[in-house]
Parts: sequence; structure tokens; C-alpha cells
Amino acid sequence: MLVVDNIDAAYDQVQVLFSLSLSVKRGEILCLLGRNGAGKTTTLKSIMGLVSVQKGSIKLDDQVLSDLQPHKIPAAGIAYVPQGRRLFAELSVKQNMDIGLMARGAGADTFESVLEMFPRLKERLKQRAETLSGGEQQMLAMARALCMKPRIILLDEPTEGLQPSMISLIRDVILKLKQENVAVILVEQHVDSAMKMADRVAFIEHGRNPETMTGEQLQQNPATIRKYLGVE
Amino acid sequence: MNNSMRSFALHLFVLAILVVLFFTVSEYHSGNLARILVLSVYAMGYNLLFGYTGLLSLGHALFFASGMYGLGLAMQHLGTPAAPAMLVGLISAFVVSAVIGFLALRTSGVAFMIVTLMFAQAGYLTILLAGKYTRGDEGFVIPQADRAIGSIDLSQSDTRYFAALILFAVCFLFIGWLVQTRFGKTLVAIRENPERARMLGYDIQRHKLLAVIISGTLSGAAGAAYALLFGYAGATFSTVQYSIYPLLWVLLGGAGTTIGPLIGAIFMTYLIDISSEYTNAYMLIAGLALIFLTLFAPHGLAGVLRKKWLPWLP
Repeated sequence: MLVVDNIDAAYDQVQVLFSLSLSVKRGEILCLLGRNGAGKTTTLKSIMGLVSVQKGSIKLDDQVLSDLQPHKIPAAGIAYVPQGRRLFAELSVKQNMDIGLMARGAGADTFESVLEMFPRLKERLKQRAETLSGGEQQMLAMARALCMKPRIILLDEPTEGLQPSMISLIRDVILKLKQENVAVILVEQHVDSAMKMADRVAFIEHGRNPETMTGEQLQQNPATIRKYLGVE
Repeated sequence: MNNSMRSFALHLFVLAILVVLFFTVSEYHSGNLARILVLSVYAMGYNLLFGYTGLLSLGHALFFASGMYGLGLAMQHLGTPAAPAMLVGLISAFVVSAVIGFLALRTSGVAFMIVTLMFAQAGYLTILLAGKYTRGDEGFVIPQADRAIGSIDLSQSDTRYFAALILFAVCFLFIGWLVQTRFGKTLVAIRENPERARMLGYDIQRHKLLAVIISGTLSGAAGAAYALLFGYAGATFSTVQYSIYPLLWVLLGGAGTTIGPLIGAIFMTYLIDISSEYTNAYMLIAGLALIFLTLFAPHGLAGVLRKKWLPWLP
């Protein structure tokens, strides 16, 4: 479905990704693991066209995304939930979701089905986004992305800094998306999370993807985790 | 009653008050109000860019002056009647704002402020340099006999007031409608977080350019109406001061609210008017009022209303 093929990407003169390749299929969860600064977020930004890709290509089915302007990429069916959520802080929960709905011309049925995934937001539709708790803000960021009816969703550390009950809720939603045949690319810091949820795990190191394996293979290879993350 | 209906009712209520005011206040105040209504249109144009889109321009006097001189020069030198001259004013403002928007939007933040300021200064100097046609600093008077549309003499206090009110009403309802549309909501998203809006698939540049053009054209409509209703076009209206005024009106009245520009223009005009009766240092009083309002009502007067009592206020 989405194929990142041998890309180099750079912030101005500073190259961050080097011949990086990965792919994700419909209904699959691909988890990107790696140390801080390894290039995980840059990989997501490259897919969204927010970082310039100098070599290689990014394709969604037959459409070459790397040729598109950044604002045209979501229309191809990709939604991005960045680290730090980046909500429209002064707008209400509903207004934030409306902006997601308008982006793809989605209607009330999409709005309702997204709210079913996040019942807590239903009680807070009129509340300003900045007054929500961290977990609720993360839910809203995901809800807004889902209002765009994406075929692929990119999630950058969605459980970072959240309390365990919230982490569990977010994970349930991610698994539900998989059931609904949405492809998920997930940047994670928690190895246990990655092993539990991911169909495949791609390690990112110094802007490269030296190894990709299934969650099960990863569980059987603790040495790999030590090698790329330096943790047991 | 849903929020859209409430909003529409409020807009109609404000317009009804403005009709009633004409019959209840003295001629002096109705003259003042006619001027305020025209300047409120200018402030509404400014508010669309600043309050709803988050772009702070210091060059809006150029758009106001484009409308004013578009109409004024057409009437003065080509003998164009008032109604088509008004159209010339609108087209002038439209073209100038499209060109300035296209160029200035290559920058953002402080650079956008400076670039718009520089363009406005260039416009001001052009008006002075073209003194043969514009009569430079002195400006020119539009003869009373020419200030008529058909048999309606716009130099009379009652027709002038209602002409100003009609222009205001059209722009007020237009802005009230625009900010509720998909386009208006996208502008707010851009104001709140442009990068996030881009990631959601919105073409930021296109929306910003359209906002500059609509904002500039509304400002130009105010400039053209000012010249037509008050019979004068002068270079003063293209100075930096006239770029700062709408910013102050909008800040005082409430940026990002449809009613804020009117409230700000009324407040500021009457603050200066009343304080100047008592002291020559009336600008000091206006300055102090601005400081206190900024400290205690940073969202402006309509912003306070929205925050405390009327969360649906558009």
C-alpha cells in the first residue's frame, strides 16, 4: 500500500535519512523503533511532505506522494498526528473535529463514528481544546485525524507522557483501526507496546532502516533490542 | 435556537439599533455615526485578516487609499458618475490587494508586517509624487453636485447616513456569513496553527491570499465610500497612522469577532471626541484607555462578552 523506497531526506543542508526504505499494508501496524534523533519523526514528516525528499520515492498504491505539495498529501488518504498533538488550542473540541471533517468533506456519520471511538470527547464537545487533560488532547488529535477518513494514519508517540489508563484507551483505538483495515505507522518509545501491538517493527538507526521484523521475532530476539535501543 | 440563528439575530438587532439611532440622536452625532459606520467597514476588512487569519498588516491604508483614489480620480479627471466610480474604487482595491498579497505573502510574521508597511509607504509617496493628478498632501474635494447616485444626493445628512448604513449592513452580514463558512473556519484554523492546518490538507497560501484580497477590497470599499460621502480624498488617508487605526479599533473592539470593529470604532471615536472637549492632551487619555483595556480586556470588549456571557458570538 505505502512504499517508502530508498529515500534521502534533509532539513536544509543537514541530511537526516539515508537510503531508508519501508512499507506498510492495509490493516497492518508498523512500529518504528529507535533512539532519540534516529530519524523516526523525520520519516513520518517525509511521508507527509514536510521534509524535502532528495532521492528515492514515496508511493501510495500507484500515486507518487513525494511529487505532491504537502497540503495535497492528506487528500490521498494519509492523516498525521504529530508529537505534542498540535491542536487548535483556542477552539472547542467540536470545532477541532469540524476542521478535520471539512478537510475531506466528511459528514455527520463520520463524526458520530469517530465519537463512538472516543466517548469521553462526546461529553466535552463545547470545551476548549487547551483545557482538556493530556490524554484527552491526544484523543482529540487522533479523533480529528480520523475525521479525515484516512487509509493510513501516522502516529508519533501517541502515548508519550500519558497515565496508564489513557495509554490503554489509545492502544485499544489503534487496534480497532487495524480491524477496520486502516494502515498504522506508529512511532513508539515503549518496546513492550511495540511488541504487543505491531505486526512488524522497523528499527531506525542513524537515518537508516537496518532491520525489520515481526513482533514475535522481536520478542524472541532481545539482543536486537539491546543492539538498536541499548535497553534490556 | 442554534448558534447560526442567534448570530444572525444579533446582526439584525445591531442593524435595527443603528436605524433607530438616526432618528433619536442629534445631527452632530448622526454625522459622527455615518463616519464611524464607514470606518467600521474598513475595520471589518482589517479584522478578517488580523482577527480571523492571524496576519498583522501595517499597510492597510494603501487598500483604503486605493478605493478612495480609484473613485476620486475617476470622478475628478474622467468625469465618471458616482456609481461607476465606486466600482472603479472597488476594482482598484481588488487589484492592489491581489498584487500586494501575492508579493507580501512570500513572507510571514514580522517580515509580513514590515513588507506591508513598506508597500503602504510606497503608495503614500506615489500619491505625493503624482501630485499633478492627486494634488498631493492637499488632496482634492469632490464637488457636492457630483456626489449623487441618480436623484439621491449623498451629501445630505440623512441620505449619507443611510448610504453608510447600507454599506455597513452589506459588509457586516457578509462577514457574519463568511466566518461561518468552510472558508472562514479554515482561516481560523490557519490563525490558530498554520502548520497543523497544512498537515490537515488545507492550502494555506491560497487561503491567505484570498483573505488579503477580500480584506483589501472591503477596506477599499470603505475608502471609496468615505470619499463619496464626505467629499474629500487626501494623502493623509494613506499614511501609517491610517494603517494603525483599524488595528486599534479591532484590538479594542475584539479581534476575531464580527461586532468588534464597530464597537472599537465607536469607542475610540467618542473617547477622543469627548476627551478633547476637556483637554488638549486627549491622545494621552486615549492612550491610557488603550493600556487599561489591553491589560484588563486583552481580547477586546466583544472578546470579553464572548468569553463571559456569549460563547456563540461569531
